[in-house]
Amino acid sequence: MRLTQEAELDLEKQTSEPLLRVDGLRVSFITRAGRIQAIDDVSFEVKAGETFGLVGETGCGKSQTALAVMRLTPEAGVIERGEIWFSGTNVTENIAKEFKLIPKKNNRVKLKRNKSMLKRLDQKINQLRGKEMCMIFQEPMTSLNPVYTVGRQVSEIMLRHSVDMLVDRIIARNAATEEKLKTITDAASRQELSQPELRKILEETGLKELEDQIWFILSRKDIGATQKIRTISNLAQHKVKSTTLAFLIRLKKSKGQLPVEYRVLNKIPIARRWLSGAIEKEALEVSYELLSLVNMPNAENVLRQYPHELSGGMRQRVMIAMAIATRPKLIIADEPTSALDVTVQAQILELLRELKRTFNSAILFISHDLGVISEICDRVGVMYAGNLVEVARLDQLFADPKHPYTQGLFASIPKYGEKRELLQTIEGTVPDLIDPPKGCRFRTRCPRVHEKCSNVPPWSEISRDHGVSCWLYEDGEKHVNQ
Amino acid sequence: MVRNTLTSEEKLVQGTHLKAYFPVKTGKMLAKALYVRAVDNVDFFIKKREVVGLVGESGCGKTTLGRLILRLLEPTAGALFFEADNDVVKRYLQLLDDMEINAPRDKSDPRLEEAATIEKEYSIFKYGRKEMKKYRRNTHIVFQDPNSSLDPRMLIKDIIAEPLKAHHYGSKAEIYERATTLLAACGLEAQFVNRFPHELSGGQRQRVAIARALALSPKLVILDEPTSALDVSVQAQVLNLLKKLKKEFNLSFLFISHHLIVVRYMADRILVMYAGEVVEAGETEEVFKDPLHPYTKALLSAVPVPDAETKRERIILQGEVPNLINPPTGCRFHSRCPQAFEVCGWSPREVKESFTFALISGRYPTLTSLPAIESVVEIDDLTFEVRLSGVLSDNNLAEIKKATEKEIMEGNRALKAVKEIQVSKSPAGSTIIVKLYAFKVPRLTLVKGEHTVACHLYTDQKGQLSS
Repeated sequence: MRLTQEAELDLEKQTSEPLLRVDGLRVSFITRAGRIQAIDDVSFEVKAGETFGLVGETGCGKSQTALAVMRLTPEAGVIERGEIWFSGTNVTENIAKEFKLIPKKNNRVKLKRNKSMLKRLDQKINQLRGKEMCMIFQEPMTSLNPVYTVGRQVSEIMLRHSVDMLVDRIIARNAATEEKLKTITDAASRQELSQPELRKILEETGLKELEDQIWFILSRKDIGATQKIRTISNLAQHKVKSTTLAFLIRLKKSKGQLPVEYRVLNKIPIARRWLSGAIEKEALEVSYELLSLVNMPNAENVLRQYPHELSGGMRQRVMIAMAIATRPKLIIADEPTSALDVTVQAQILELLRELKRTFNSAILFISHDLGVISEICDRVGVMYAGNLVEVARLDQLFADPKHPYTQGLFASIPKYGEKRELLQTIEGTVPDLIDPPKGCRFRTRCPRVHEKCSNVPPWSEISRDHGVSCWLYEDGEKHVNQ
Repeated sequence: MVRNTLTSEEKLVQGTHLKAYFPVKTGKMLAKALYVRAVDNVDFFIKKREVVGLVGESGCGKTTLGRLILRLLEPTAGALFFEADNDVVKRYLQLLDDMEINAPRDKSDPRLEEAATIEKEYSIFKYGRKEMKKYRRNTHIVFQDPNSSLDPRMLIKDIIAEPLKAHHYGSKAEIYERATTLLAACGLEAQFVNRFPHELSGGQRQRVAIARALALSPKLVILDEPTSALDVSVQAQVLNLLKKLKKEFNLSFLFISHHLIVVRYMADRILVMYAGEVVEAGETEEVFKDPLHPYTKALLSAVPVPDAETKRERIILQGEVPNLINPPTGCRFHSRCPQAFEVCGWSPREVKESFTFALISGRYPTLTSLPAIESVVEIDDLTFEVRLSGVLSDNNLAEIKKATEKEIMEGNRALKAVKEIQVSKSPAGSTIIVKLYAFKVPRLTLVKGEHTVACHLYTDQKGQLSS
């Protein structure tokens, strides 16, 4: 819908510093069979507003990287080493204290997690998770709760993270009089308002909290101009009772502590009766706006439906609506279109592109499909067996892949429109990550393997925005040309 | 049954008017039975040594069609001929055309009897137990997910030997020797015969599934999404293997997939299915370079091509695949088709919504003075009525007509189907009667070469309308 001025300022500040910085990340899983080194030494950056793609085959660690960023690594896994900085916060501050590895017989280890540290971590990370960074999962059926309606699940995000926004909206609407709204409707009927123009008028009339709502009404396509104006002037009639308003104003005064205060007040039955109804209703209203924003057909009915009543594409739209509800700085999309048909996939990709333009969120896009990656990403990282082997701008990677694995990956896809020789393949299979090859993990399958490969390859910057982890490029390009 | 030997040009399999309906439980007693029309009136053929790609979105009936060919499902109607004499099939099609398959038939019609005799003799759906067993040697299938299509408690050699044993291939030693040769042909070393499926990787398991499919040297193998569960690098290995085996064993493939890049790579000819019907068929390159059906165009434009340079124009379809219990009338694609016009099959159910919406949306200021709508009633397949609480003036009618035209200009395609708007007046309140154009179901028609398409844009329907 819009980018607030603060966000614009933020953006300028952040162009110098990346939004997300992952540095030397190592994630291991402690299992009966041994320690699986799922991710080893992965470093990359995501700048504000860009789409960074992670591509690789099954089990290469792309999803685990995303989960580590969200600090959602499964029970058996631990972040052993490395740092993850998100928007100025170190989300891996105390990783060394979070777990202990107790050596056992036969080279085995036992994992012991420090429960109180993890609890403290949750408290800290919950301020970010769902608010500043959100995740869209691959299979929307399993990530939506089957027993709650869609409306309830979408509004839950707002009730958890942005009660203040809801409260502001209700109070502002109560302050709206018909004369104030008339200045807006007059302006809207004279000419098509753009968003900054609308914002200006709203600021003059002191209704700037209503910007989203009015902009939503103005940008609706299913009703005519007269109807829009009628809807806007009707806003003044959507008022809450004076007792509720008193509670809301009290809430608003508790600056900074509002979510806490809301939770406390919510525990007092009488207060809850006045408060929750109004706020939850408002959250549903916002949910409706969000669902319409993601082009959900028949959004009003969908609010009352359960996930199983929706098709795959519609469920994924619900997930996206939930992800953008708090205007996060980073959206992590883990194979968001892999379970969908091509035509629906095209719809969803288009939607993601559109939303990125309006909200200017950064996207960490994970996919195994190079086609999808090429549709949406600005920069791409290629992963193999837990290592990040190559990072480049999209056009550079596609025009001139450097790492032998990336080259093999491209060669093994049939060329669209090119005729029928046999496909090039990468021989062999992905190594067992309990005992990965020493040095370069790709060396067992690499067609250009040589003696140096048994040492860990260095990261070489071939050009600006193009790095590769391979011994072939040790001294830049020279080595290859010999 | 004597069958002629085929020349390469002849058809290996030919299906006509295939239908597969699945009953759904409504929970209501005595309610009219409902059916999911998964495959509806599909005609197709596969030539010898040909790879036919079958593409479409999930739920369009691809897999059901594949299973019909194997007769893993009994069809609701239709006939399927395998290696049948060309003249016989031609005669059969001739008979059906003469009788017009969907018209109510006169039971004493002698042509009906002749068609039934041909069906009984040649159609695999009428085969008896023994003939069926013979037929099963000729066809086999490779499923999508090799994890669930291989028995976890059987050794690889037993998995491959199972069809051989069932068809009495030979002695035990011969059977296991054949299993080893097949495995070798599929690129697996002899050491794998004594392993269990769980010890193999996904690609290796799919190789085993392919080896099993080839055990009885079939003529037709149905590949139902054979590489969808595999990674790209493994997918390339399996595709190469399939190409090699096709040459070696003189196979025909029906390659079912939603992955269009792979289909383009593999197939000689493709069939495009939408909502249970084949909407387009033709040589692969021909269809990919010059798709005719609006659905095919949208489908092909939606394929994400791994190429950073070319950004093609993209047609993004609105809406979802229709419900197959109550599919749209006429052309099933018309509700999502960007090019739909008058005769594509608009029903009063669809048009009445757009029509009343145009009246009440407030988009047309001249219509705000209209009397309130009391009810909207569908009269028959081509007419509906809007009953108003007040009386309508002639001026109002002209405004409504103007608004309808304006809506069409703005892209409301459903209103194109409005043929005429009449008003009947009575003191209690006027009624707007809306009549729609009659429509026809598009059938596959030959456009050029072997390229057929089921769309009114390519029949004379459009011409008739303007004249």
